[in-house]
Amino acid sequence: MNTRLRVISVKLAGVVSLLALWELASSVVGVQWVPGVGAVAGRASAELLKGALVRDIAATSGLFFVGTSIGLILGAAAACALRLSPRIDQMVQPFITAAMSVPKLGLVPLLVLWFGTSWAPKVGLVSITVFFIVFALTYSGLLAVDPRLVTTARVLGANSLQVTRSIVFPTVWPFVLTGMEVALPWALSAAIVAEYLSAERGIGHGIEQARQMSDSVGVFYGIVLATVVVLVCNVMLVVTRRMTVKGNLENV
Amino acid sequence: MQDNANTTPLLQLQGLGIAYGNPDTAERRWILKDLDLTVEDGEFVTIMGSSGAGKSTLLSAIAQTLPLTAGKVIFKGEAIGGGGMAQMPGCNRQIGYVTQDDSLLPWRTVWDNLVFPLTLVGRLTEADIARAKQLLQQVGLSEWASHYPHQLSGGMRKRASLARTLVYNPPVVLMDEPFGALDAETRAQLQSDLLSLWQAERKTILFVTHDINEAIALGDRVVVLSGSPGRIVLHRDVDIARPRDPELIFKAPSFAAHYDTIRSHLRGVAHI
Repeated sequence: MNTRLRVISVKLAGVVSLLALWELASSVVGVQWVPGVGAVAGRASAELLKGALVRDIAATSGLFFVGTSIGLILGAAAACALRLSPRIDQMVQPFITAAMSVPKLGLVPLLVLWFGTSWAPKVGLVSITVFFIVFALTYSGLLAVDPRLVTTARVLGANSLQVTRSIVFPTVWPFVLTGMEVALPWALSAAIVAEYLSAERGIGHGIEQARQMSDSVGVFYGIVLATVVVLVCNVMLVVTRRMTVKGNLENV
Repeated sequence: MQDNANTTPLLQLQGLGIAYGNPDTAERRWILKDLDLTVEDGEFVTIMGSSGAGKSTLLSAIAQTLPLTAGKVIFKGEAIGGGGMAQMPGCNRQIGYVTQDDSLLPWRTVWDNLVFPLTLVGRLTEADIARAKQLLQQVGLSEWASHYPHQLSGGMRKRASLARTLVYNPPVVLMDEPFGALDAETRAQLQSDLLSLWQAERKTILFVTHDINEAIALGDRVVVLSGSPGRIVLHRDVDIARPRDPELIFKAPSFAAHYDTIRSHLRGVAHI
């Protein structure tokens, strides 16, 4: 309890010093470049009362969740397929490594060219971002499966499905969670960049609109909003990990 | 059926060979070669051997977690391994295998590890739970049921792993130095527990150990493996009456003779 209290107070001190730094920067550089904490908080409460805050978060979160889910499923599936077939692995692996090094945000104009300004390029961008990260970690997770445990389970009478469920999945799952934690800020960045380009609502749309009107408070408000979304999602992942990962894998 | 059981040995190894490396090159290395062994139903066989003589390899071959290079494994008169047959680890839960490393699932508690083999065939019954609880108590881990393997000592993990194999009641149990890492007192306790379990449940046990006392105290027969590739250099029937007290086994009149014979076979080859 004592250590917990200490951890909380250290975290609080961190938040306070961050806000102090922000205020300092604001007074040194000038409010037209770095608006004060109060101005941004005021904007947030005004947007909340207008209903725009919830609407923007919902729009961006929706895009973010759909894109992330698609990337997660495809990334994990691709890793499994490659691990199951050494032949496909040999054929495809070099291309995946090459594709991984393409800067994803650089694809935005191409995606708009192909899909126009509908939801498709936005979801696509988020999915691609998540796909490669989850793919890489799921692949490492599959490599980490202990063959001795698989043998033991077989001797105890487990069939392939039971081996997958009781040995492979528990080994890979923490890796997938780590992949999600790494992918999270990238995925939200992708969602916001996609919204800069084409959107009627959402956090990215708000930031872009504020920029066009030289509204630095609006830009800062958008950035804070995006950061809060990432933090909330991160907490959800941490809770998921705490509930689903047991034994000595807790600290992977 | 009765007749069959009396004439056919439970387990036979015929010309068993395990080798690593490409068959056509000089790198080919035989770990075991031309090994024959017959084990009767209900027999307790202890296996000894110099380091590297292939004791663990022999158990893996019987458990079919390692492909045979030559020879056959015959169980109840039927070939279950070798001759190009598909490997079937554990032979459909007929052969239990307590490996040298404990191989507990690190993300499951001791209890969930213990009942794991039972959950593979269906829901846990009242009888399953009662048996698991009893075994947990026999190996002295009742208090540790909800702990994870990494919170246990090496000896405790071994005991949990032993209980996990006994819980689903395979007729043949292979054990690879299960008591090696334990302190003398726990070890003696587990030895006598194992003997009473073996007698109560009429199991057939193949038990690898490097302790001559243990080999004599537990076994109906001591088999000594030696050489490279490994082969059987001694079959020694242990005529000491049961029930035995493993701690006081050295008091048996024939103990010294068994001990000397086994030791000379272990040593004799170690010097070559």
